[in-house]
Amino acid sequence: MSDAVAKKPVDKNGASGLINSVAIGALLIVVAVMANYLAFRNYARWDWTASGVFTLSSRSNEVLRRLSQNVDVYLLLPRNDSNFQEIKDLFDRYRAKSSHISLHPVDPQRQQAQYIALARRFEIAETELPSVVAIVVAGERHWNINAEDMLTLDAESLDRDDQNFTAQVKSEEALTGAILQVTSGRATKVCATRGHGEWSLDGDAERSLHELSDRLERANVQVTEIATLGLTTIPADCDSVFIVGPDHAFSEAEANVLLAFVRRAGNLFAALEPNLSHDRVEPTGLEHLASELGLDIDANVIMETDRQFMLTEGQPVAFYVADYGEHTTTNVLRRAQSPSAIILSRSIRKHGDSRAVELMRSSPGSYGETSTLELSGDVPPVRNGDDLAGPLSLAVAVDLTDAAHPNQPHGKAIFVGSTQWLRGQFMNEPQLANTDLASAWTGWLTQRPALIAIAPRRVHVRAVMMTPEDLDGLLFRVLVLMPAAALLLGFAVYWSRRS
Amino acid sequence: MKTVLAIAKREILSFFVSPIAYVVLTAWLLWSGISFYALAQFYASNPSHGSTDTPISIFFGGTTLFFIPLLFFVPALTMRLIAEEKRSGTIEPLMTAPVTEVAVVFGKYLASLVFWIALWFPTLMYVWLTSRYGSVDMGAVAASYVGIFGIGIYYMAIGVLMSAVAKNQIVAAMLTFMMLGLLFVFGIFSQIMVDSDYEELFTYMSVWGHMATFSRGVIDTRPIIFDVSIAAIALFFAVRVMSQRNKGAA
Repeated sequence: MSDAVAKKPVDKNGASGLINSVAIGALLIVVAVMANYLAFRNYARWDWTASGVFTLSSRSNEVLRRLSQNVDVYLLLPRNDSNFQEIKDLFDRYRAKSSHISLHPVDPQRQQAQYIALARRFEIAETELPSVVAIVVAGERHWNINAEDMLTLDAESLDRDDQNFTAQVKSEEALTGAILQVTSGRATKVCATRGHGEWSLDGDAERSLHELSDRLERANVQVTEIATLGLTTIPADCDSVFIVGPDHAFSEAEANVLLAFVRRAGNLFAALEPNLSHDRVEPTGLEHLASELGLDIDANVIMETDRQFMLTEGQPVAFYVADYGEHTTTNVLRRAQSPSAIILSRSIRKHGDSRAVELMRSSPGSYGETSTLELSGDVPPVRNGDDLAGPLSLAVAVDLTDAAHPNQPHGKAIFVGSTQWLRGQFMNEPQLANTDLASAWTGWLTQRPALIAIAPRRVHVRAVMMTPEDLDGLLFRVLVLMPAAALLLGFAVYWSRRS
Repeated sequence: MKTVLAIAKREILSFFVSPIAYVVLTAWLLWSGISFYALAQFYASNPSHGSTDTPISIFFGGTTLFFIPLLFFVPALTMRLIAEEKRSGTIEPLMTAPVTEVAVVFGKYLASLVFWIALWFPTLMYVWLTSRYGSVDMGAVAASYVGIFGIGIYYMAIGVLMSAVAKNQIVAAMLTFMMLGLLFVFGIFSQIMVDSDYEELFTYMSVWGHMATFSRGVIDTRPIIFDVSIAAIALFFAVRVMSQRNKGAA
């Protein structure tokens, strides 16, 4: 009896302790579930990779920062697709930056009804459907991303023996472009002049603007061609006029039309590489226009004498430029010291009292060769006579803002002394800033700030190269040496304890 | 805190002077070696395979070769922590000493984390070996180890809980295996789920999804929060189990 009486309070304590444990445990689980829910909805990610492979580009960040409407992305990829994880990871990065982005994966194999319903809703033809991997939707607008926009390996880089292959993160470019497409207003229109031997939009042409136009179209910039000969005014729907690599001079009338366009708040981009005849650098016909804007288009060819800036030894006309001016479009590149590759350039200088801004300069060791006879001769050209001493300005930006009325529309112009830097081989090279320059200048001229930021870049895939002998060595180390070392250590411990 | 460290130190010493530590380590290195060598061989014959993958990034969670052995090695490391004390009767003098259940559980848990680190420390050799044959992204490697440590935080906590619940080592090992197996299966669910919400939920809970992020070099707060919260729950219940057991014994 006394035992029973003594035991009762212990049981009570045990029961209340158990209830307390269960209650606190349940509370802890509820707190953990809530913490996980919040963490799932609002998360942060840090990219620790050496080359920032999983960091969104400045441009994508800028686009996401400005995003004010909801964007739904339907990912139409089978889960077992080799690119699924890569693409989904990319969307995760976008979602981490903006809560306006929602991802809806739809597996074409396992969710066929939903897949077909989406195709009908967005009027995608049955023949096109297999090539569409994502549909980006904002309100009533939608944009399809195709398979070729995804990450691809650069076949050219496979031939190199530097053990680094190049993978193009086109998916980010495509997704950011698609978001711009569905959230921005009408496409910005760039009119590229023709009729003077300019670079054409034809992708198969030797002098092709296709690489640039393709990139711009992803960012909702439409590039079309216009013939300026005979025009009295530039069409009103041209937000910007591009003159890229003419090899015949513009007429005075054309130049006047272009000047009037800029003065009427138009935007002009001119990439004017020197055209060499047997005894001189041919005029472009735009010298007067440039002069009116406070610039000089020099009749020379910039020669680089400093070997460390040459693209190829013994080729002074092909060189790197890493000296950028203080301008919205070049500030990031200046800080990053990203080099651009330039081939065959003239100098474009601003007048002393001009408000123009130099965008990039050649090295102090360069000079402007004015004698084409020297360039075509057997003897390497040297600086003499009227040749300009470096560093020389290669590109200049002019902003015609009226200081009294800064908010009124105003013209802008960028003149570059070279055209070859727009070639695909340079635009696609991840180490070079050529594509960033082209994009930033277009963005500045067309009032598209997102384009001024650094574009999605290509990254180097780090490959491992092993010969059969290396593999044999590896096999011995990881399957014999390392386990044997652990076993030996254990034996040593056992032996020391035994003795 | 001093008692936690003292218990952890005692546990670590007793583990590393016992042959089981070296048997586990040798078996682990054999398994890891096979897995790493198989991946190296694959990448040596397919240098352009994948986009940003290397043998090292795949080794850390890219295949089931990473997860399946953990189902066996984690129970092997944690099964004896508390269950063995109960079986051998040393738990009684330990609990009558001036230490709390919290100190015992956390001391054992800290020791188990040291075992976990000891298990992974030799794999740094794989990183060094890979760097001899190609470039290794050290940032991605560091992130992989952060992910592995995160997995260790909650796997070991589950092991400690099961060791506290079970009466002997074998039962503790089996319970740990079952719990980790369940978490492993979440990874399979995430692959087969058609509904994207469920798929996201299972991906969130699965170690597959966790390591897929970390092994690429990305530190994500989601798996870290998940790991810490599971570990907190497991350790809380381990303390309560010990506490209830002591009250029962009293």
